[in-house]
Amino acid sequence: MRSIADMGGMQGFGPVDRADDDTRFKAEWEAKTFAVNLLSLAAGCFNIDESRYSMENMPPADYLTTSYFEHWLYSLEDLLISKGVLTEEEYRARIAELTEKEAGHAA
Amino acid sequence: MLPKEMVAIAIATGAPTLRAIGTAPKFKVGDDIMTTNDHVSTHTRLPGYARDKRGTVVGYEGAHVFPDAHSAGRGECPDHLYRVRFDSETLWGKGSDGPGAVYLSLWESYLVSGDVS
Repeated sequence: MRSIADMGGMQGFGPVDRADDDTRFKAEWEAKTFAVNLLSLAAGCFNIDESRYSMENMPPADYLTTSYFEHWLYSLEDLLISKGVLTEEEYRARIAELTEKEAGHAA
Repeated sequence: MLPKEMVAIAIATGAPTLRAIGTAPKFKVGDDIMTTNDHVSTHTRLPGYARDKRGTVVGYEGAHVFPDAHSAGRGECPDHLYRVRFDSETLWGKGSDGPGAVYLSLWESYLVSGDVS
């Protein structure tokens, strides 16, 4: 089998764009996602190979329509839950809380 | 848990995957190999386009943590790692855009002898 991350030799995505070689974070959440990932790795919550495997398991349509750091965020959430650092309920409750806060801001 | 004063060092130096191993490498530089055709549904570092292909060992990189095992909670299982050269023609056939090669770092578990004799 080939995961959606195994894209070598697939066509239709255009040439590799080397023009944008700016490696700086483009948003605050990217930096935070990166930092929490590295610290979780350093703390032994999961290893880098589990992290890659988790990203490869993203639903293919989601994988193709999300950015590099969204892949990191997906695997971070997936592994923190599957390794028992967070529960699914805690995760959902926090999302609900943030959604409510955002709605409050918008109102 | 990593002590906080070690975080900067850990980030600067990364996490080396080189390990000691009790077995000798099966291949040497110059050996012809074939890659396996194992279409596993778990994590692997053997790309789909390089499965069941003939290549040549051009370097040996020591024994490293084997990602296929490590990603699946089976421990580090260190395995010999080689640099392998594949002709573009071998990988892409008529779709090849001329003479060229692809170099991949591949674990011994992905390789079998390519001797035709």
